[in-house]
Amino acid sequence: MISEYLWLLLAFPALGVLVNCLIGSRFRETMVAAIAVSSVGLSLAVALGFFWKMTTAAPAARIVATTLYTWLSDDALHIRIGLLLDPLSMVMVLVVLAIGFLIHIYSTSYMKGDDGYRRFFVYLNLFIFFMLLLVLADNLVLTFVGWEGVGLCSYLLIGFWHQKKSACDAGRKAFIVNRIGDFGFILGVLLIIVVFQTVDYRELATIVRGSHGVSPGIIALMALLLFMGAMGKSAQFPLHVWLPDAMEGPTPVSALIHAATMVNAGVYLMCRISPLLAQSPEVLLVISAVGLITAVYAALSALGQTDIKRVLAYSTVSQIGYMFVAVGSGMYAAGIFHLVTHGIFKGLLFLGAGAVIHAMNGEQEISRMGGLFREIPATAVTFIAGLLALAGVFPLAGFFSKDAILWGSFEHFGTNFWLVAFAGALLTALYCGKLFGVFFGRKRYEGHLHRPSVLMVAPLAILAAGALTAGLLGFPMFAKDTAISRFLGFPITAMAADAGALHNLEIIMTVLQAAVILAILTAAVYMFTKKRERMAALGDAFPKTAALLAGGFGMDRINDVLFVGPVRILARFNARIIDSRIIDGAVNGTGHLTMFAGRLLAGLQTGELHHYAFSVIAGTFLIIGTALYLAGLF
Amino acid sequence: MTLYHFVGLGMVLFTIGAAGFFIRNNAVVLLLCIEIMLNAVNLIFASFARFLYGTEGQIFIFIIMTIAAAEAAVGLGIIIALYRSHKTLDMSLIKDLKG
Amino acid sequence: METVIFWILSAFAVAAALAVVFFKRAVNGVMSLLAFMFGMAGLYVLMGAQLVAFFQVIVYVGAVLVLFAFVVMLLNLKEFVRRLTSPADVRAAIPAVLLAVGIAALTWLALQDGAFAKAAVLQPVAGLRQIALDLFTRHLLVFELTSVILFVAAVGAIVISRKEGDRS
Repeated sequence: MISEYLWLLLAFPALGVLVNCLIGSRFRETMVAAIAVSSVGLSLAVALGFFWKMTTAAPAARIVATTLYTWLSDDALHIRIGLLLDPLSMVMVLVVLAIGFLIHIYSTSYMKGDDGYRRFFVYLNLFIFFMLLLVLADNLVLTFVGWEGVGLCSYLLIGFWHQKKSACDAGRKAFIVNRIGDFGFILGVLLIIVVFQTVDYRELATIVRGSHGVSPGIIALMALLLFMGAMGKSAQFPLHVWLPDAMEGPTPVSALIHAATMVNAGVYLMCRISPLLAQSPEVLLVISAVGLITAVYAALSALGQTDIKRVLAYSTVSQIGYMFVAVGSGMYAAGIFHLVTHGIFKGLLFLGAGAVIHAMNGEQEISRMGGLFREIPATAVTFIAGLLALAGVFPLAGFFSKDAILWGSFEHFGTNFWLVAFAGALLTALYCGKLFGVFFGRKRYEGHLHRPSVLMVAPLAILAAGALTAGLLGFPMFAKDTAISRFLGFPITAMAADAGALHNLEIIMTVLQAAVILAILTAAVYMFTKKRERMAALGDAFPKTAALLAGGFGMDRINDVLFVGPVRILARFNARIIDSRIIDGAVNGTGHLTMFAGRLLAGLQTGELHHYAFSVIAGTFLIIGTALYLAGLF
Repeated sequence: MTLYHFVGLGMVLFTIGAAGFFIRNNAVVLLLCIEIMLNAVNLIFASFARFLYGTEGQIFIFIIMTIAAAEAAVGLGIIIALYRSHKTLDMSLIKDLKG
Repeated sequence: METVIFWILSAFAVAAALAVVFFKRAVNGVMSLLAFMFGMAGLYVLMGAQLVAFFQVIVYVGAVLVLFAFVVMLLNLKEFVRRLTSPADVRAAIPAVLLAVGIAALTWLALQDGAFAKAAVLQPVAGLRQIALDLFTRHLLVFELTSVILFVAAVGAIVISRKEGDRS
């Protein structure tokens, strides 16, 4: 019965887009903002209603599904526009709508006075629509529609200030790199269609779990191709290069799209195809490996950044790597848990960074920020809360989710794997400490600071509260069934832990990890606040290393040489030789040929009467001869 | 006399007319050669009428004669116009249609 | 008897045709054509197509040739007493002449077919009555079209030979 209201979740943002797009140019800024915010708010209310219903229902009955329209249907294959609201998508919907709602409120103040105010909110609502479509879709093709849609909105919003060339380049880069991932996605979907003749998630699950007679290699290939799509969208190595440049967009965009929602789509997709992944352990290993490499690589790069938003961008890449480590270990619930907590505190950090940048009149370089605590205390407090959550300090949210992942990787992959993951966590603590320096230490700015308005601070406060309390979802700890895993229906750890020696080991490890992380964090905070000049000198002493870290280990250069260069050569070859000489030559040549033939034929017109008469007599001869020949008369 | 005699004579006359057409370049003489060719064809039609087809041959002769008369009239008109504009009737000198 | 007359008339016609071709002055050519026409009329009578001979003399000789003579006299061509043709002209004409010979040869060969020989029986001589009936019943359309052509030719001839600026 309530499934009839599912479409409302999509309808409100769509309505917001239509109204603001078509007649919004006549409204004042406040009206535009009101329409946009209320559309998301209404959707959120509906979602909360569904959530309430879901929690009070029995675990087996937590699915709400509806089909809106049959898109494509023939004997074998049916593709429908259908919505599926199960616990997994419920979590995603709540994350998107709740954080999205807060960010919409924040943006009303942040984007005030911008020429493209209305355009911004149209794009933002459009993004919410497509993101909801992505997570609510009940089949791969509809998910892909949402996938592409959020990619489009990402492009539009990254290049929002399109007068800046760097913004346009960044938007293009995001779209193109995403496309590479989409290539894998499409191939995977096509393979699934060919082999299984269905794209519906539930049908697929039933088929895959049963006996289907398809070789494991094919299943692994499907999973791998879909993971390629996830790599593009979720910015994993080596398709991560677009995310740091995506910081050219306005900060609310970075918060919403590139921290809390779109980049999680890859993790979500992997959870949706978990039946396929369960049958291909090699692919799971690949996923975890890629996630781990990304996590450590990005953490190192984050350490070397000087722009506050780029630090957070690389941090996002790193944390999503951890989510993929969780997925690869089969701990889907832990991955989703980290997704939720990361969305909260990364969103918080980005919004806080936005407030700092706004206060400093557009300054984004860390080296010029210092001692901001006194001037913008509210922002500072919430930002620090976010940093602590990111580093994984007890009892903030990040601690629980990160701990679950670390323990799970140790359980599933062994000591070496866990060591590298733990190293990544330590690096995280290091760059968190670096960001502390923004608020403490001596003043490094001149002039007046813009205090952020209430509309900007309130979302920060709410998110900070979330960062403090979201850890509750991970209770009870050290058990297989935590609150979130019970809701989702996935186990939080992969293996059936026997509560004995391992249990004790888990407790000891958790305590040790927390202690080491806290120590490193404290040391980093001290070094970057009190001894900031010493750290700067350290950076100057090793300029090559600093440059390497800052440039993300030269990935952009590598891509340039490997891919962009050849394409450019090919394009130049095309333009100069194929287009100018061959094609134009052919076209012009046809003209020349025609004129030449014309000149030849014109030679027949001599003006001499006898020549014309000769033609007549010759023609007559030919005709009579042919006629007689055909009549067989000679 | 058989059919072949008359047809053969007609062929010879036609050839004379055609050859004359290609040899001479006086416009009036060209028209005269055309008349010769037409008459030769008329002879052949008449012989066919006599030996093969009956009245159709002779009727066609009338048609040809009519056409020949009309064509001679127009042709002479053209010759007059030609003489007026070019002051000569030597067809080898008139090359206005060149190109 | 018939044979003799035939050969005499044909020799006369051939000679007259050659004369038309080879006389230098146009007037001489016209007169030779006159002789040629009469020769043809004789041949028609020999064949039994008297009506055709009749019309040949009236129309061709009496109208067309007179027209030719008028024009030739009108134009008063004095300068064409030069050489008939240059050797170059003759050489250029050879291919065309050969073709004309070829056409004649082809048709001759075609006529050698047995079907012609079988069908070549003397038809009854068609008199004026018979021809008139056929012309005005079975071949009426052709007759009418021919008159249209005559009309068009008459108008055309007048238009072509008008002087510039003469609108009367």
